[in-house]
Amino acid sequence: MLDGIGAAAAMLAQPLAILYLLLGTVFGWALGVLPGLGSIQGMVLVIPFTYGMNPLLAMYLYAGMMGSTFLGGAVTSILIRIPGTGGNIATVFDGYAMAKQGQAARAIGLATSASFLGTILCLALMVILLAIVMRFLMAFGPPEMFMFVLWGLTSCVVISRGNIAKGLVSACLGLAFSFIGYSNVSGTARYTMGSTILSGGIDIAVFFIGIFGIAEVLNLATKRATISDAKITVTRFRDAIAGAAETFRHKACCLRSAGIGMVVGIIPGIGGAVANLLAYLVAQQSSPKPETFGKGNPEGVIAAETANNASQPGALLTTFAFGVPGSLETAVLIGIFMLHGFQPGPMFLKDNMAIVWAIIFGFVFSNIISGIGTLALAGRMANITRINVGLLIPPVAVISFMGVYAMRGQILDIFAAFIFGLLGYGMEKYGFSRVAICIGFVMGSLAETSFHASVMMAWGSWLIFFTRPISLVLFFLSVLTLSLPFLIPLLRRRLRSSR
Amino acid sequence: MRRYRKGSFLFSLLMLVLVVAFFLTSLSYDQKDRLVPLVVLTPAVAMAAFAVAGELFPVLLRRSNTNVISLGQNDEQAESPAEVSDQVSRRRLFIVGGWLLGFCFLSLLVGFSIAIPVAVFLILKCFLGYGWLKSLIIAAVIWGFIYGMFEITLKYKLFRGMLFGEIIVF
Repeated sequence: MLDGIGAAAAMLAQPLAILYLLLGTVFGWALGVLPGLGSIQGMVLVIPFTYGMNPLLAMYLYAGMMGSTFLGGAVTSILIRIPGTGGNIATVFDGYAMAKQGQAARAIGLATSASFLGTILCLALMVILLAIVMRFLMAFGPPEMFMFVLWGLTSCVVISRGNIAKGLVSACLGLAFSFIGYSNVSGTARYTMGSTILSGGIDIAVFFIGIFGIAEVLNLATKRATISDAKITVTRFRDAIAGAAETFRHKACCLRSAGIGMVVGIIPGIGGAVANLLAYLVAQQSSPKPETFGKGNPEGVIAAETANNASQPGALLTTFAFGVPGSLETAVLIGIFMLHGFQPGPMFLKDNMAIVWAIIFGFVFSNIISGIGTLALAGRMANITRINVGLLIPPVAVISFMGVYAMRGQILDIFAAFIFGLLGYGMEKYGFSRVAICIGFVMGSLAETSFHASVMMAWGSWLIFFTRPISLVLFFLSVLTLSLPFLIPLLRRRLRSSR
Repeated sequence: MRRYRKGSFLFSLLMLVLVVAFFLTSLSYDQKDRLVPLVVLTPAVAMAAFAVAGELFPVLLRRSNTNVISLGQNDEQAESPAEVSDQVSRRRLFIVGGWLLGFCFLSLLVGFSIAIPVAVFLILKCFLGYGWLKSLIIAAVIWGFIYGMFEITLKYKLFRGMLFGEIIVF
């Protein structure tokens, strides 16, 4: 477990690593502040630039981005009532209420320390759990991997908000896109239409940059000139520090929300957006004064921000241990691992602990740096929301296309990215899940090879998925997850009638 | 509202067409190559057809909406960045979509070194309404950043364009 910690620490001691960490933190924070953008867009945009980089340096850049985005998003949630990212929705409810009461600085302080605590507590827990999980990884064979992927896909379709039919279509379409190119099983070219370029499959960067980068350009075109015209309160450092210290007086709320965030993060395919809402709901229902939520209760901010940050170590645990993404950010991270030549999966931990420690260190320092910056400058830096959003269109578009071209040197890839951009925009607008299609795309190859390997192990029988205990449990979890949209309204009705 | 639903119906239809296209293509492969795709695409076709039907009969889609986590009235409190009216939104979408496609074709023909400053200048001047000087400066800055990043720092040659001798492999 401690292998690689020296290499990661030694890399962090180099000025270049610190520079990338700082760049990633600032970039991630700024993207978090800008609603509609987040660490996903940042990560996909810089993929081509990190392609030839030392992998540890690249991980510091990505960890910097991932570690600071939610805190950036909390600032706009509190100051202008617009969630910076999906993981900051619940922060608006009490954060903005506090800002309206002249306590914006206090709310930002609460969010900062809650974010920090959520990250640090759950990173420590992740390290402990990884050490335990590593002993059981050998029990995970192809049938377990296939069922884990299945559970991941059903989770992200069902547990996030939306329509289940559209979610399933998205997930299956993502899997279908991953099948384009030479089959891992037989080497036959599939869905290539005779094209040499398609024989190599769809490049991960082209897919992600199209679905998120180009789609975002189209999205920006429909926005009004500035994100917000609201007067932004300038926050005082002293008040923010007092707010940050106040979090420690709500230990139970913190610990509970961190636990919820961690568990949600571990479930494949869902992430901060669900974690912050669920933690908020539980905090409200556990409070002796639930009616104060939505009116400036500090536990509303603490619960939301602790949970969304805690979900990331949980998602990383699933990603590192099983090669299955725990969230959309980690789905992109898996793509990045593959581009750098690392094979995600149960063997990843055995050979690549330096990468794991680099990401852990990156998260810790990113939280510290972004926390200090947020406490000191939040009110001023939130003015970024006053820029004309149209001005973002040319640089985001150009950098996206250039990044796509740089991956394989194929000019036609920019057309593919454009088509995926149209698809991504349409999906977002008409209720199809981009999360599901991305996770399907990243997991497709693993799902197919695991399936065929399992069937070969069992001499052609499909019963192997139901005769191995872990595989069977994962299958039942998938079925249960798919049943949730029908079970939960039933339970709610029963509870209401029993009252 | 009608336009939105029409768009939603057409997009759902597009997704159905995509899924059916994958499904039908899968049938032409041998058993091993088509097994997992068919396992995946068969329910996908059914769900896509259901989604299309749901656009025509919204009650179907309402029943299959997942709202596992609901916060009741608090759900409405968070704003999303304001969008403009549907008509303006569609017009802007077509303009920017056309600009993106035009940028792709321009890059293919004359290469990035010409396409980037020309395309950026055009969108700043004609769509965003910036003045000549501001548009030129921003276009130059973006072009300079890309040239500096790729040609100088990463030593990566930018695509020169079909008209200047580059060959395309399809």
